[in-house]
Amino acid sequence: MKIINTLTKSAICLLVSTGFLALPTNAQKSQKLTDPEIASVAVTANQIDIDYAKIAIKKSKNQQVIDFAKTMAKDHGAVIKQAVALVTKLGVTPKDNATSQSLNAQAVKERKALNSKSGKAFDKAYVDNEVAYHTAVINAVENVLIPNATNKELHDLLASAVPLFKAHLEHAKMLQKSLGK
Amino acid sequence: MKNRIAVLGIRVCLLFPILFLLSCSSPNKKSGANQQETEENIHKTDTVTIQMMKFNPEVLNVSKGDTVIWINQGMVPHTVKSYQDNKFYSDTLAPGQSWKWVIIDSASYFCTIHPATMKAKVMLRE
Repeated sequence: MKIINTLTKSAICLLVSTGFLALPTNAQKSQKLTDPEIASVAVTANQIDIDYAKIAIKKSKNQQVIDFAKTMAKDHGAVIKQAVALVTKLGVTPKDNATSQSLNAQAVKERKALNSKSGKAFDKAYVDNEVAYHTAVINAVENVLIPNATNKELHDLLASAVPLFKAHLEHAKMLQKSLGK
Repeated sequence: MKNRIAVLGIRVCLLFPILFLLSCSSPNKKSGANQQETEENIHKTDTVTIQMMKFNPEVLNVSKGDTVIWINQGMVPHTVKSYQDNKFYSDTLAPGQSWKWVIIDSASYFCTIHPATMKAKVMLRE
């Protein structure tokens, strides 16, 4: 039980540090999101990683890091495309909300931090952030977005994106090890 | 006399199609086309689907000369590449696309776009 509590606390700390739970206190308590809000969070979260990838493609000189960043840009772009197609089909308009705003605010800080670095320090910062960000996104999708989604197709799209994000996380960890050598 | 000729004519008419059908179905006399068909039938075609960031099945047992078709049913592009260079490489498969390869040797392979998790094998049956 202690282990579970520790893990839960660690996950929450990670979510807060990456912006996923950096919400007003009342919002944290309820964590209720509607389908239009979930759609907005999903698109925002994917777009943020595309933006990180664009910085990496521009700044990194490491081919492994560049290839990884290109994969992030393509894969998250594909998820956004499918999410947009789905909400268009359902007639749902993504609705900006505290979680999306918090994610964007945190991303502005992270982009600034990444842009201030170069060389190996940049590669390390980018890959470390990818590990932390994907860990947070997976937790948020599994524990907040999926349980709140009421539309089955939206629920299924989110569920099918989880293995993709987990593959990205493992890829980022592999890269992290490789850079550490 | 006329009756005998008529009966003989009917017998010949009945016998001809029977002999024709027997010649077609004889198991010992196969035409070239039939032999080729049989050889093709020996080699099976198996399918590996790419779904939820996995090759399914992750281990596929095949016979030498069998064809494997990989179908990308996922939401993002993938590739199929043997770990051993020059064995096989599919190039990028967009969602909905497929690629096939005749297997002549066991091989471990992976997706070059998602190398950390997407790994599988085709194994030759002994």
